Amino acid sequence: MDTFYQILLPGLVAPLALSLVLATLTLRLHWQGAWGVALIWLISYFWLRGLPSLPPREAADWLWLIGLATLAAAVIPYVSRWRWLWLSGLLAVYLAVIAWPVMRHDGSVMLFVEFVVVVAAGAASIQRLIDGQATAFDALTMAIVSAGYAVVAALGGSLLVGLLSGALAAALGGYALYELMPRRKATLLPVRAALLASIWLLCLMFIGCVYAGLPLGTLALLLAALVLNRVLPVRGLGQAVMIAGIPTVSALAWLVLTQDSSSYY
Amino acid sequence: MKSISTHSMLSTLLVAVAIGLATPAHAESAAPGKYKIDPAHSTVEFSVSHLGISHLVGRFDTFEGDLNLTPNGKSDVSVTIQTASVDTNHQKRNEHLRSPDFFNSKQFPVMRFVSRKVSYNAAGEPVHVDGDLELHGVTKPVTLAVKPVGAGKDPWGGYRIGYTATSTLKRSDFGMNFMPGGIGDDIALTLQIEAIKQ
Repeated sequence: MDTFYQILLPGLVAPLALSLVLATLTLRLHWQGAWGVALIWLISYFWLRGLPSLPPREAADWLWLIGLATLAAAVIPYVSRWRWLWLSGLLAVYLAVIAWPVMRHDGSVMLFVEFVVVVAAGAASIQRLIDGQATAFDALTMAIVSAGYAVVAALGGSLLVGLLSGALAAALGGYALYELMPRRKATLLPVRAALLASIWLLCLMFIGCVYAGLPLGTLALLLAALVLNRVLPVRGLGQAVMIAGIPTVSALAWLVLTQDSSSYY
Repeated sequence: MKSISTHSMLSTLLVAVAIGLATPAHAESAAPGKYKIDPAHSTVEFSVSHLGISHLVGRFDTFEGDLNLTPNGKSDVSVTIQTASVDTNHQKRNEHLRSPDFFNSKQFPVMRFVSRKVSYNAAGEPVHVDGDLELHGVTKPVTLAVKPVGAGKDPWGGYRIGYTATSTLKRSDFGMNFMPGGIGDDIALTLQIEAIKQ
C-alpha cells in the first residue's frame, strides 16, 4: 500500500487522470494555456518531493522555479528572430545553475561535454515550437521519451528522477492518447506546454547525467528521440512512434544489458 | 605438610599470573596531545531499518579525523567522512545511496562532525561529545556517547588511544527524506576509533 500511495499515485495515476480531464477540456473549450500541464506536473513534483528548500539546495529544487521562469519568458514579447536564441540561452542558464554545485569543486571535461550536448539538443528541439509549430504528435513522442527516461533513470541511478520523468509522461498522457485517435487534425497540446515539458525533460536528463551517473550514450539516444521528431518531417503516427520509440527502446536495452540485475529494494 | 604448602604456594602463584595476564595491558587514561585517526584500525558504521523488518548495516570506507586531548578538559574532535565511500555490500544500492535520492555525493561529497564540548565523568573519562554534524548541506547539533576502550604504547614506538562513539539521528533532519516507508528515518551511528599520537 505504501508503494501505491508514495510512488504510483503521485507518479502515474494522479497526473494521468488529471491529464485526461485537461485534454478533454482543451478539446471541448479550445483552451490553449500551458498552465494546466504545468500545474499537473507540479502537483506530482511537490507530492513526491515535499516542499522544496528555499533557497534551492539541490538540483531538483530548481525545477519548479525553472517552470515558472519558462512560462514567464514564453509570454514576454520579443522580436521573432531572437526568440530562439533567447530561450536557448535561458536553457543554458538553467543547466548551468543545475550543474553549479558540481562545477564548483569537480568541474570536469565530461561535465562540459554533457552540458554542450544537452544545450545543443535542447536548442534544436525547441526551434520549431518557438515558431508556433508544434508537430502533430508532440505529446505522444514526448510521452514516449519521458516514460523511457523514467525507466532508465529508475534502473540506472535515481528513482526520484525517474518518478519525476514518469509524472511528466503521465501529465502529457491525456494529450498523447488524443494523438493516437484516427481522423483528428492536429495536436491538442498547446505550444507553450510542449515548450515547458521539453525544458523540464531536458533538465531532468541533465540531472540524471550529472548527479546520478547515467551514461552519456544513454542520454544521447533519448535526446535523439526528442530532437528527431521535431527536426524531421514526420508524416504519420507510425513514423512518429518509430522515430521516438527506436532510440528510447535502444537506450533502455543498453542499460538493462549493462546493469547488475540483482534487486536490493 | 611441606608438599601441601608448596602446592598451595604454586596455586597462588598460578592464580596471580593468570590475573596479571587477564588485566588489560592498556588500562591507563589517554595522554593529552594531538592525535590523528588511524583509518586502518577504525570504522564508521551505520544501521537503518529496512521495511521495519530488519536492520541494514553499512559503513563509510574513507574518512579522516583529528583529536586534541587537553588536560584542562577542553578537548576537541573533528571527523570528515567521504559520502561516496558508502558501502552496504551491494554495488547498485551503493550507487543509489550516492544518487540525489539520498546522499547526493556529487553535490555533498563530505559529511563533517566538529565538536563543541566534551563532557567527562567523575573518573575524568569522556562520556559525551556535543558537536555539529554537517550532512547533505545541513548542519545540526549531534551528541555522541563516548566510551574509552584503551590507551597505551604500540609495538612500533607510537602511542594510541581507542574509543567507541555512538549516536542516533534522523535522516529527514538533514533533508534526506526519500522513501520514508521502506527505509527508516532513524540512523544509528557507531564509530570505532583508534588514533595515533602525533
